[in-house]
Amino acid sequence: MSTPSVVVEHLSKSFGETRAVEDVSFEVQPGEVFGLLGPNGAGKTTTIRMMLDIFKPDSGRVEILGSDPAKVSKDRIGYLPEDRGLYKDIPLEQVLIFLATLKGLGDGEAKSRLVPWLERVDLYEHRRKKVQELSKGMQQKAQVIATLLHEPDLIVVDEPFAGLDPVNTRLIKEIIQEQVAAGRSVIMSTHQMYQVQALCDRIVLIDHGRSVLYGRVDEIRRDFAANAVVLEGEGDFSGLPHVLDARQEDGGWHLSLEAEADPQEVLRALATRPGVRLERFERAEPSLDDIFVTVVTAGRRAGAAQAGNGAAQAGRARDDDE
Amino acid sequence: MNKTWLIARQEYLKNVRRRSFLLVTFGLPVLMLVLMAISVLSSTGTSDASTLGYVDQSGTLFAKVDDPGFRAFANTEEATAALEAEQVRGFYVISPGCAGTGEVELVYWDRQPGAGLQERFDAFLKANIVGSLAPDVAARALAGPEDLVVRTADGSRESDSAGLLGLVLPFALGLFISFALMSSASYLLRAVTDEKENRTIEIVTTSVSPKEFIAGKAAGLVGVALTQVVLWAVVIVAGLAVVSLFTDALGGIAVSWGLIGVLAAFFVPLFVLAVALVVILGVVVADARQGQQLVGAVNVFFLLPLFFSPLLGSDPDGPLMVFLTLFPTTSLLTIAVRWGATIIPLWQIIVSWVILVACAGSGFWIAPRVFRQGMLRYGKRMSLQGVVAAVRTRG
Repeated sequence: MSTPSVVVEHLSKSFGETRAVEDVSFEVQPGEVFGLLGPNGAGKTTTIRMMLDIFKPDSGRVEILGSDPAKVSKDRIGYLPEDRGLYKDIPLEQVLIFLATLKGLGDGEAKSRLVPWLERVDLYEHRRKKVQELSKGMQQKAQVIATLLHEPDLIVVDEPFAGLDPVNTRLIKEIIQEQVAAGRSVIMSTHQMYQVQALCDRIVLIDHGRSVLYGRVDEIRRDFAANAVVLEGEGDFSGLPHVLDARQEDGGWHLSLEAEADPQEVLRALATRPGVRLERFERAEPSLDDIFVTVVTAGRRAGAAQAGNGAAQAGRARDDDE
Repeated sequence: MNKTWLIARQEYLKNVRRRSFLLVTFGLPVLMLVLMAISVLSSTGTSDASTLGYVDQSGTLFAKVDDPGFRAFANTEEATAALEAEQVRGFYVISPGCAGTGEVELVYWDRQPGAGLQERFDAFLKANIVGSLAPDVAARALAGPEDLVVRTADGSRESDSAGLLGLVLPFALGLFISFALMSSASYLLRAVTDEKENRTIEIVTTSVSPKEFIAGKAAGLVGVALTQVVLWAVVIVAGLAVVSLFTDALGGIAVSWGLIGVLAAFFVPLFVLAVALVVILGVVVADARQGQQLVGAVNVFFLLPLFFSPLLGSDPDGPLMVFLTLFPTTSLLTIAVRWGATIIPLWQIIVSWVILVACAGSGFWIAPRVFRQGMLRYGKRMSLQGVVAAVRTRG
């Protein structure tokens, strides 16, 4: 395996009494889209800011493109922060050229690279307008250009689809896929789980500052899958061998299998059953959305239980004192 | 291209293209030129001496020394008739006891004769009063008292009594520099709060370091202030040159190179200190409005010597003036204010500079740390504890 683009090891950061990030570790490989997920306030943005040397960690280690974040050339990183911002009282073209020159491009090169980008995202006609005159979606697309114009090796995008209509969402998705195809690494933080499922190879899920889930998206989904299959088609799907329960769901059938049952045996049984016509047969894997909710909810319950135990123990201690 | 330079260039161009900047920068000199022109015209509008007459009841002007052509009248009736016929703008009546009392009456209709013309008549009158003395005595009498020069024991520094100008010029120079500094600081505060409000800082700090960012902004904005100040200075110098063609009142102007050297040595660290204070202020406040309210208070710390300038005449070396000389934010202006009034001991200048450099160095170290922690608090104020924590925190 090639040298990881990002290595995060046991990263921790506190602000006063608040523990924002605690012992988070993950790696991002070149040419992959990596999902940095978590509920609001989980510590994702703080983790990103430590990766980008905006904040220094209290402990742990970060390595970006093989170097310390403070020493790696900032020109090799493209960042689309969650809190969007462009200079509002300056024409769009000037802002983007200025930001590109800060990333090491010359004025002329920045200008020549900018034109095709502006044309591609339908902003060319608006290039002389001040940023404040552009719609939110246009500003979002301009921000994407600012992130990518200097062709960075590592791209960090926080909620890249926020404020975009379906057409532009698809456009940005295509752009991300092109960047990955060009061998660049993309770290994407978003709450749109179907986009993560569609784009990301691997993810880390952070909750309350801690890493609670980390790995390949397909493996995680398999791990969370119950022993069940989903099928669509015509015919009688009742009374099949090794099937505990068959229920209709979202226009198809959801079959719960016995613990050790092999779905292939069910498929063979269906293939031989007269009058059955199958259009879809697959293992029932939960969506990332389901997994996100399951993990985060379980974490909150555990936290509440721990707090309850703590309170009960404190209460008992008080009773003892009395 | 150097990133500090890129930020400086961007900041400079952004500001000099603002309508408000163009209005103030070019509007003020135009206003000054208009005022100067009015002043010159009012003083020299009627430069023909024959438009002013005199009635010499004292016989003082019999010698008619250096007569520049003022019209002489035998009596006030003749002079009044000429005034009513608008042949003269006015006339002086030199009373019989003028040599002893100095009593001279100026009579005019509705418009007073210009100041330049009156000055010429004064000179004419004085030349006639001393006309009976020996030429060298008369020349000394007309030249006025000798200059008093005060030197230090080793003769290395001296203070000459160039009159009011000698006192006012260093003061004006100090004020000029302080204004440039305050102007840059005000621009910088706006730039920092704008950056916070625009939420651009997170992108910029992933392209440049906080130090590069602050240095670039400060350099660009001092360029803006200097553009303004230099342009005004050129207009003032040109204006004074024009004025000097009409009056010799400005002939004694001489700028002390020692003062310029001292002010230059103080300017850089004072500017760094002002930048650091303004950056911290810009980061601590929630928005530009709060920043503008607070910058006024900060300006007071730089312009404090102005409030104590009346002390110059009575106690230029008193404890308060010494304190203001040593206090970092007031050092430059206090030195400028005192320069024309006294000889500032060398130790005070050196100690003051050392204190200022130490404070500027500390500010340059603290400001990027506070900036790094506080700039991402969009729309929020940073508490004093937050500032202390930011200073203590790693990076």
